Amino acid sequence: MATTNNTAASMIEIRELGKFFGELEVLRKVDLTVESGGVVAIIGPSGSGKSTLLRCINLLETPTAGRIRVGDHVVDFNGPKRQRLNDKSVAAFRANTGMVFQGFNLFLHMTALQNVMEGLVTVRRLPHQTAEQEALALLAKVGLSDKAAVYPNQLSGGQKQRVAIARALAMKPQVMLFDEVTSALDPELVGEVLAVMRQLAREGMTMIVVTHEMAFAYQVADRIVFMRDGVIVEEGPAKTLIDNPQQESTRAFLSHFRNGLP
Amino acid sequence: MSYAWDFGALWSHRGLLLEGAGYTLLFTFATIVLGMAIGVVVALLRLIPSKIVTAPLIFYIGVFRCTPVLVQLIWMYYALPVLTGILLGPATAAILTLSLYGGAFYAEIFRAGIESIERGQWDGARALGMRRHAVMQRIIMPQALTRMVPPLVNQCILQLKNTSLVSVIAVPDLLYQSQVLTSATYRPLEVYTVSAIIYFLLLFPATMAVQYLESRLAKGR
Ligand SMILES: Nc1ncnc2c1ncn2[C@@H]1O[C@H](COP(=O)(O)OP(=O)(O)OP(=O)(O)O)[C@@H](O)[C@H]1O
Ligand SMILES: [Mg+2]
Repeated sequence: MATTNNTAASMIEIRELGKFFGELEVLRKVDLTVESGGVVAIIGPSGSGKSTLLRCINLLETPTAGRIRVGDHVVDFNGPKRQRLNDKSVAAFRANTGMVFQGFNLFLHMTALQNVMEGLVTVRRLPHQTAEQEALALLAKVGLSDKAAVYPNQLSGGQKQRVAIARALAMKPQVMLFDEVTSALDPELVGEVLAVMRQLAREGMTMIVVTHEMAFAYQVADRIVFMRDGVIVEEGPAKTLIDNPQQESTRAFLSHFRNGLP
Repeated sequence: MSYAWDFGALWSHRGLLLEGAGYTLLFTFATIVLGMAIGVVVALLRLIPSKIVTAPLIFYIGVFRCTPVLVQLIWMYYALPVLTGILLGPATAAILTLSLYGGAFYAEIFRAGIESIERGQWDGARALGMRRHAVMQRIIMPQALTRMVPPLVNQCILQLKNTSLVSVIAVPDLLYQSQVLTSATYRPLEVYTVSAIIYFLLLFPATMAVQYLESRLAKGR
């Protein structure tokens, strides 16, 4: 894993990313650039590779081709330059890219506070007391100060997802990846999670958001990427892409959402 | 039914039964400790994605799970020396067999426990940048262990019952001493009733513990 002195303004740079699951090609030559502080929404039908793309960006899946840069961290999966990834360097790469999942993935044997503290203690190696203070501040930021001592089973879906966001933020990542984080929530709980994400975007966090919330994508994202069958079909400024899609398949996909749009 | 119970002769030989019970507990304890050690190592090795490593382990587990302990015991004591020239004393053969037998079951319990933890727990931990051993130690194991406790205790109970089989190769456990006592007193009814009661008193608390643990687990946390 090399470190470069990249002074370009872009925070995330993905080049010709490819991913096979056995014989199945799930991502094909995906190129994506996200400016520092940019918010990109990824939309597309089920099975188009959106989750796989996000999971590749923080190396939860190992790409089979291409190059990924997040901030100063570069991983190259091409030909001779292909690096052997070891557990330690992969972990360092992941710590710099926060990820929030559709299914929360909170640690069920830990309280909300312990969930947020876990990375602070085991990865950032902060002393217990400092970690606790930082974790409490993060819980406050997502509006859950009063839930610090509560276990995930006793939290609502919206609260769980906000704890998960706080837990990811605790690593002070340069980018945040969100994979359909509101899809498992009751409709009345979606708003509180989107509000936290809006706030993060305002604070200048670089974000990639896989979502079916077209209104959110329209309002918060700078750019929208439409994926189908493992390729990026169309990409552009959020409002342009939604109001005036160029590709037939984008139009067809968006037609399912017409009534949900502003 | 007018059997005249007479525990008098038994009482004068009580030392023999207590000694037998002592052996039973000792064998149980030793084979649980060794069996669990084998089980943990085998379960962790089975996570390695390499057939060269896992195939022999799967073979071992299969052999010991799919043959009766009694057969294993007799084989280890009588057949192994013939085949290899290694002569095992009765106690060694007994401990070795029961540990390997238990180990095969413990390994499966550990593996099932680890695999019962959803992939999402791994994802959540790895996404934070936690190293593999830290994920195992801090996230997976604590949750897996709680789920493993009832089946582990159950296996320990079986382990104690299985020790009664070592009497066939003349290890002086509770059952073996009961046989000795029977031939000395000609009071089989009294002897085996008492020895059954001793087994029961040893095991009943353990089964209650399992029930308690299971009900606590069912309540979640
Ligand atoms: N671990 C895996 N092993 C094999 N195939 C996989 C794996 N993960 C995903 N796939 C396949 O890769 C393809 C893309 O899946 P992916 O989850 O990335 O799609 P998605 O766009 O996120 O879909 P959804 O909107 O349903 O979440 C699908 O065909 C899926 O079956
Ligand atoms: Mg998905």
